Amino acid sequence: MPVEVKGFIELRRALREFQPEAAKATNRSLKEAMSMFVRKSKGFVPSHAPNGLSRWGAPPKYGPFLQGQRPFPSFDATLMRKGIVSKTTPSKANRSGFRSLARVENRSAAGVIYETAGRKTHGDNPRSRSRNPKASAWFFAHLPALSKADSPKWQGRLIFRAYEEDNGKTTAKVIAAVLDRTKIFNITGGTKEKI
Amino acid sequence: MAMQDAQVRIDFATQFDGRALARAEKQFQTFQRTLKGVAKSLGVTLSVAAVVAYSKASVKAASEDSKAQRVLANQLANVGLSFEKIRVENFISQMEKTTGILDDELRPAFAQLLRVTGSVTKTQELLGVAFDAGAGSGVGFTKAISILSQAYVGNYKSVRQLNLGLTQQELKTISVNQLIDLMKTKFKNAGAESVSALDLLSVGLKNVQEQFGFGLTDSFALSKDKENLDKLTKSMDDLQKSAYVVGRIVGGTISGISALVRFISKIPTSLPAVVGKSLKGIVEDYEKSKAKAEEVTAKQRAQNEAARRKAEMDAIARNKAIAAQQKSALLAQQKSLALQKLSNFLRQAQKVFDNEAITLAAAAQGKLTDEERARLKLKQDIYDLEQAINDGNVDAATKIAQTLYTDAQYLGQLRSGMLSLSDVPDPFKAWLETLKEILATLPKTLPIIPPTSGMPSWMDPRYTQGVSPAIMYPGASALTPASSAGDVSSFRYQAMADYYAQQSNATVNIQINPAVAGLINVIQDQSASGVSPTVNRINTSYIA
Repeated sequence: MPVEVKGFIELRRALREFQPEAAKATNRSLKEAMSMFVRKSKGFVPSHAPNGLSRWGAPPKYGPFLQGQRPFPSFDATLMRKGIVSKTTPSKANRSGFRSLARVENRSAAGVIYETAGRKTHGDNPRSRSRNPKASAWFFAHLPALSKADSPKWQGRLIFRAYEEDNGKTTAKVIAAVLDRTKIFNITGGTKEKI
Repeated sequence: MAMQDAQVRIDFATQFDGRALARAEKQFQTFQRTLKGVAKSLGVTLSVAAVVAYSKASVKAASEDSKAQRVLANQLANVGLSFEKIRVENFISQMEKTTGILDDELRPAFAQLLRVTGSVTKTQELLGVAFDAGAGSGVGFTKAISILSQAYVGNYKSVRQLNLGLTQQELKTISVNQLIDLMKTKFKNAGAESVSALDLLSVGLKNVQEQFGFGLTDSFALSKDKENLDKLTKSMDDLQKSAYVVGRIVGGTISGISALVRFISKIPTSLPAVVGKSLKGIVEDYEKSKAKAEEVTAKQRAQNEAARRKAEMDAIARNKAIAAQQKSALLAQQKSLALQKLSNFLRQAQKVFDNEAITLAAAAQGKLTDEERARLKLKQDIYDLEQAINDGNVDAATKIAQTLYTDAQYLGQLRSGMLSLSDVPDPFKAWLETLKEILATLPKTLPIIPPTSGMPSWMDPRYTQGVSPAIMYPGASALTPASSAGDVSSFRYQAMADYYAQQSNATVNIQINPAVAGLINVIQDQSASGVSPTVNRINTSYIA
C-alpha cells in the first residue's frame, strides 16, 4: 500500500521556484531510493522465454490484422528490462483523487504479460469458446508462480514480486528521502539559491 | 515500444489532490442539466410515495445486511481472525456476483463453516463445493452448507441426501478430504450452470437497495429534524401502493434494456448534484473512511500474515486429528469384530470338548494317551486364547489361533482312524472350518499377519501390502547397524528410507555397517592382489 504524503507536490513546486538544484537533488534522491528495487525487479526477467514457450521468444508473425489490432507481443528480455523504470513526476490523479509521487512502472507489453498472466483466471474457464481453450492454461503452467499477496492486484512476477520480497524497505527509503528534503528546505527557510 | 500511461505500477508515495474531484463535480453538474432535459422530454416525474416506499425497504435491507456483517465479524473475531474481515467481505461480494446468491445467505454460511474449519481459506473452498453440491444434488445451498459443516467433523448422517453413490460401508470408511474431492468431481460446474442472468440482476438490484438504505440511514442519523423524521416514517406506511405504479411507469417509459443500463449507470454520478449536497464532501468523506478502514501498516501486515499462517496450521492439525480419530474408531471396530468372532468360536468349542472328562481321566490314570495329550494341549490353547481376548491383544490372539488350528488338525488326524470304524459324526470338522474361516479373514480386516515360521526377513509380505515399516519394525530405527547386521537387513533400511522420505520434515540417516565396510576393504585387497573375491554368508556373518 502506498504511503500518503501531504504537501509534497507544493514542496517540489517551491523547490523548483526557489532552489532548482535542490529540486533536481530531490528527484535524484527519490530515484536512488528506488534504484535497488528497479535493479531487483529487472533481475527477475529471465533471459529467454520459459521452457515450453519458446515460440513466445520468436518474432511475431504479422498477419492480416484489422485496424487497431496488433500481434501478441513477443518475449524480448532486453525490452522487458528497459520497460521497468522508476518515475518521480507526479502522475494524474486517479478516480479517488490520489496522485503518485514516486513509483516503479512496468511499461513494456511483454513485461506486463509476464508480470500479470494468471492473476484473474487459471485457464480453466468451462465456458470458453476459444478454438484452443487450453492455450491459456498451458501458458500459465509454464510461467513461474505469482508472488503471494492477499489481493490478486498485488500479485506478479517482476515488480510485484520485488515489492513482496522488499518488505517495505523501498517505501521507507522513499519516505526518508522526502522527509530529508523537507527538513533541508525548512532549515534553509526557502531562501533562493545563488546561481 | 508503446509507452502509454502504465497501468502496472507500484506507488510508493501518493498525495491526495482535491482539484481532480472538483473537476469531476463540474462534469456531474453538466450531466445533471442534461438529465433534467431528458426527463422533461420523457415526461417522467418520480412520485414521492414511490421514493418513500423504496426508501423504507432499502433501510430494512441495509439493516439486515449490517446485522449479518456484524455477526460474521464477531465470528471472525472469535476464531482470532478479525483482521480477515475485509478479505472475507471482498470474497463474499465476489461470490455474490458470480453465484447469484445474496450476501444475506452467504454470510451466515461462511460463519457456519468457519466455526468448524477455523480457516478462511478452507471455508472459501468449502463454500464453492457447497454451491456446486447444492445445485447439483438439488438440496439447495443452505442445506448443502449444513451437510458439509457436519461432515467436516465426521458426522456423515446427512451426506446420503447428496446421493453421491456411496454404500453405507463406504460412507463409514471415507475420510473428509476424500468426501470433499468426491463432491468436487460429482458436482463439477453444477453451480455455474445453474446461475441465470436474472439471478445476477436480482443480486445487483438488491445491493443497490442496500446501499441506498445505508446512505439514507446515515443521513437520518445525522439529521436533527426529529419532528419531520417522525412524519416521514409515518407517511411511509400510507404510500406503499404507489411503488408498484411507479415501477410500471418507469419500466414502460424506459424502453429496452440498454437504455435502462445507461440510465442506471448515470444515476451515481448525477444523484448527489440532484439532491444538492456537495459532491466533494460526500466523496471525500467516503474515500477517507474507506482508506482509513483499509489502511494496514507493514508491521500489521506481518502480524496478520503470521496469525493467518497459524490459523491455517491449526486448521490442518484439526483436520488431521479428525481423520486420525475416524481411523482409530474404525480400527477399534474391526478389532472388536475380530475378537467377537474368536469368542464365538470358543463358545462353539465348549460344546465339542468334554473338559471335565479329560481332567478326570488324567487324574484317574496318571498317564495320558496321545489323543488326551492333544486335547489337553488344545485346552491350554483355548485358555490362552481366552486370556488374549480378555486382554484385547489381537496379535497374540491371532498367533494362538494359528497354533490352535494346528493342534486341532493333529487331534483330528488321531481321531480319523476311530471315526472311520463307526458312524459317529466328526465334531471337529465344522469347528475347524470356522477357525479356518476366521484365520483367512483376519489379515484382510486388520493390519496384522499370522506368524510365519522360517520366513526370511526380506520376504516379509507386509511390505508388499503397503504396511508401514515403522509398524512392521518398531524397534529397527533404534538398532545400531553394528548390533543388527543380521536383524535389520539392507532391505529394511531401504524400506524405512522410502517410508520416511515420503514424510515431510523427516531426516533419514543411513549408516554403513562397520562390519560390511571391513568386508569391502577385504574384497578390494583381494581384487588388488589378483585373487577373485567370493563372499559367503554363514548365519549372520559374512566371510570373504
